Order: sequence, then structure tokens, then C-alpha cells
Amino acid sequence: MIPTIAAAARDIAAKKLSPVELTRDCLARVKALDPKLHAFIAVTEDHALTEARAAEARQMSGALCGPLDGIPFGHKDIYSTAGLATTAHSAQLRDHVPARDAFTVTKLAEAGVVLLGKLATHEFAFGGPSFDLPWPPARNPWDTERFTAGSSSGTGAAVAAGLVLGGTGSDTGGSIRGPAALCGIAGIKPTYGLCSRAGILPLAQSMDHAGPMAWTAEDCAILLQAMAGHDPADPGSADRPAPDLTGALNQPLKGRTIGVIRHFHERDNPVSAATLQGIEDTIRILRDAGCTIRDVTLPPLQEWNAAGWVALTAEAWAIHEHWMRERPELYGEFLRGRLALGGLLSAGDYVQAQRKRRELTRRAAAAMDGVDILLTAAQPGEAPKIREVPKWASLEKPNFTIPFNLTGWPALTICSGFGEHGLPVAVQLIGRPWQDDLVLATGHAVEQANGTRGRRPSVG
Amino acid sequence: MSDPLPPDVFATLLDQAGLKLPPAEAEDLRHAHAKLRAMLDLLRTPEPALAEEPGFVFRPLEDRA
Repeated sequence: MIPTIAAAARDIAAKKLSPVELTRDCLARVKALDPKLHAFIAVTEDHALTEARAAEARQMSGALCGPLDGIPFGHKDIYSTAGLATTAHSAQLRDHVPARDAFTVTKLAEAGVVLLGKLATHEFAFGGPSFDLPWPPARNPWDTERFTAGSSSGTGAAVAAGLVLGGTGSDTGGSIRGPAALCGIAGIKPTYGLCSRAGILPLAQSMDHAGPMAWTAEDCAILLQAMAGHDPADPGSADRPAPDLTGALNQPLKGRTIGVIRHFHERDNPVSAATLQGIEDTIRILRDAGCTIRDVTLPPLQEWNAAGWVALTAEAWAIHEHWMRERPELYGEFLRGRLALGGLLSAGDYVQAQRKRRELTRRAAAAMDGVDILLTAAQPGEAPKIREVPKWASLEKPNFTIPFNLTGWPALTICSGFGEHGLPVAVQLIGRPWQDDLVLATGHAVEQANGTRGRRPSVG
Repeated sequence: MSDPLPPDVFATLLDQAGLKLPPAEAEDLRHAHAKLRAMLDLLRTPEPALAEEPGFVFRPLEDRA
């Protein structure tokens, strides 16, 4: 039985569960399953056991740091970890050992997480799935021939398979919410500015978000509570107190209004029957909880995708242009191509993308008048075969997640059911800026009613 | 959807960006670039008014707090 973070925290606090034994259980699963999953780039077993013993000493002396003390954890390998290689899953940074931790790595360490290692990512959070990198791509625990989505691919796989109880992700166009959806877990892209990106390798700074991934929305709330907070080192970090995310988890939803962006998942990018069923089941659960349901119309998904892709690739090019000119052979083919596309844009293209972004956000804010939570798909269906994912998929069909990288609003993915191949499908819940607590509370209520959290993958 | 640029025109674009790619990748990129150009058209439709608010507003540092 793999516990949630919340359950493990209760048992650790009650001295019914040993952090050392919990860590050993996770390490045993890593040894047994990771040769098939490739979720880890580096496993830090000795370090983890040392941290677990320290947590156990705090447990025994009644000095636990909080609900994350002694919890086995992993960081996406774009989060800087002092003294531990941070590779971005790329030959460009194969030997890169940061001198300092990322801000969020420090905050989570102070909360007591036990670091089991660094987790696979799409190359520089943009390149996968790639088979020409120093490490293989992560595989989906529900079917190892299938895609995890990305870019927080290792975190999605590791959490779903119980190799860790939680992990970090980053999300520039859906890189937390996509893997959460295809791996059947929960993942939140918080409000832009809630979590510092300092020390996290960037992809596109105006759209980059840091956030947690875990088995449940409740676990995400616990993790986000520890990660959130102002950091002057990140110019995008908001100078405001972190909200009470865990205390608000069980707030009543009666009287809330849910806006369903039906045209996103029915017309702009039609989803599978199972995904649609999961959306309808979620609507029913929220209606039963006393919410009012109504349809909401936003600008077409294609417009969001255009603004998002142009802004993202232009900013990514600005970060990588030197290496793209000097040593492009050290990138995998997928990332090299996607970055090159950014190099072909003009200054005018980028300004038009940001102008369109502002216009789209204004129209979305107007459409959200009187609505508390928006609801749509997170992915079109179950995970596709990993070998069949096209290099230019994002140019062919618009994705459901990038609109909320452009608005900066909080957006959560949770599991909503299972499809015809037995793989998970998901819904996405979006809130107003700084209402991350309500988004998480809504996800928590849905998970408690939809019956999906009792089913884990059996890695074959 | 836009047609891909002629190969010689596209080669000039790559040169201007300082990009040297294997020929097969450059050809693949030429076709992907056509899809990107369709997105660029979408950004400019409808054509923004001359004085429309730009994407950026500069704020002096002391205003940001």
C-alpha cells in the first residue's frame, strides 16, 4: 500500500510510521521498477537514508518540521540542487553541478522532505520525448509503451508508481498538468508569482511556473504550502503572503459557480469519449455539492495556442541562442528543431504575441465574471504510444493547458476516470488569480467522490 | 495553412539566425515553419489598430513594489 503524503504525515506524527522504513520502501520500488520507467536521472540513496534518519530523530523527539518531514520526494532535474548534478536531461549540462539550491528546493528541504534523487524531464523542459539524449525518456507506469506527456515526465511517472510520494514540476505550456493527466495523478500550476523560479533552469520566463505534483490534490496543497512565498531573486515573484492552502481544503463549495469551457474540448480540440465522460462526471459531482453549472465561452483555443507558442519559442530562443549557434549537436533533435523555430521569429512576431496575450486575458477575465472555477479537459484522451508522438504535435493541435500559462491563473489537473485502454483520463480546474486554495479545494472534493484514488498502476 | 517557403528563401532565414542544421532537419523545419506562419497570421487577425496598447508597458523599478 503506497500512502498519500497526508496519510503518511498523520502516521509519522503519530509515531506509527518510520520515515526510514517509508524511505526504504520507496527505494525498493525505485530499484524494482525504475529500470522499466526511467523516471530517475540520479538516485541519491545514501543521502536519502541520512535525511530519513534525521527525520526519524525529529519524530522521536517530538520536533517534526511539519507534514512533509520524512516524506520521500524527487526534484525535476531542472531544479538546482547544490552539489548534485542538475542536467536538464541534456548533454549540454551533463556535468553541471550547481553551487546553490533553487529557492523552492531550500524551502522543501526546510520542510523536511527526503530527497531520493533527480527526475527525468523533457530536455530543458521542451524537447521530448527524445531517444537521442544521455538518458532515456520516462515511461508511463500504466503502460510502459506509452507516453507520460511532458515536460515533468519523470515526476509524473515516479509519483504514479509510488517511487516517491511527491515531486516538483515546472509548467510553461502544460508541463505539470500534462504528465499529471496522462499518469493519473494531481498537479497544480499555481498563480504566476506564487512560487519562485529562482534556481530553476528557465524555458520562457514570462510563462514559466514552478509547482508540485502528487497523488492527490490534498497532497499538492501540502506541497504548495511549503513551496509558496516571496523571493526577491525572482522578478516575477509576488510580494504577498502565501495563502492558507491546506486550511481551506475542506471549504464548502455550495453556492460556487462552475464555468464549463465546452467549446475547448468539444469543438476546438475534441476529446475522447472517456475524457468527455470524466468531465461530465466531474460536473455531476460539483452539482451534487451545491455548485451552479453554466457554460462559458472563451476565445478559441487556436488563438491561445498561437500566442503561447510564439511567445514561448521566442523566449526559449533568447535563452538558448548562443548554444544553438555554437554547439547545436549537444541538443537532441526534437529540442534543436523547436528552438530553431524560435530563431526564425521576428521582434514584431514576439510583440504581437504579447499583445494578443493581453487581449485574450482581458476577454477571458470578462467571461469569468460571476464564475468561480473554470472546467475543461487537460489532455485529449489517454496516453498515446511513446514512439508515435509527433515532433510538431503542438503545432498541429492546440493544447488545453497553455491558455492559463498566458493568463497566469491557477490550474489543477486531477484524474477523472479511465479510458478504453485502462489508462487514466483527467479534468482541468482553473481559478481566479490567487484563488489557488479554491482550485485545490474543488479538486479535493471531486477526488473524494470520483473513486479514482484507490487504483494504482501495476507496472508490467 | 501557409505553404512552406521556397528552400532558398528558407536557407536565408536559417543563415540570418546563425543556424546550421543537418539537411534533413532543415527540410523538416521548413515544413514546421509553415505551420508557425499560420499561427503568426492568427496573431495579426484582425489587424491591430495603429495605437493599440502594445504587449509591454515599461514600469520604472520603484513602481513595482
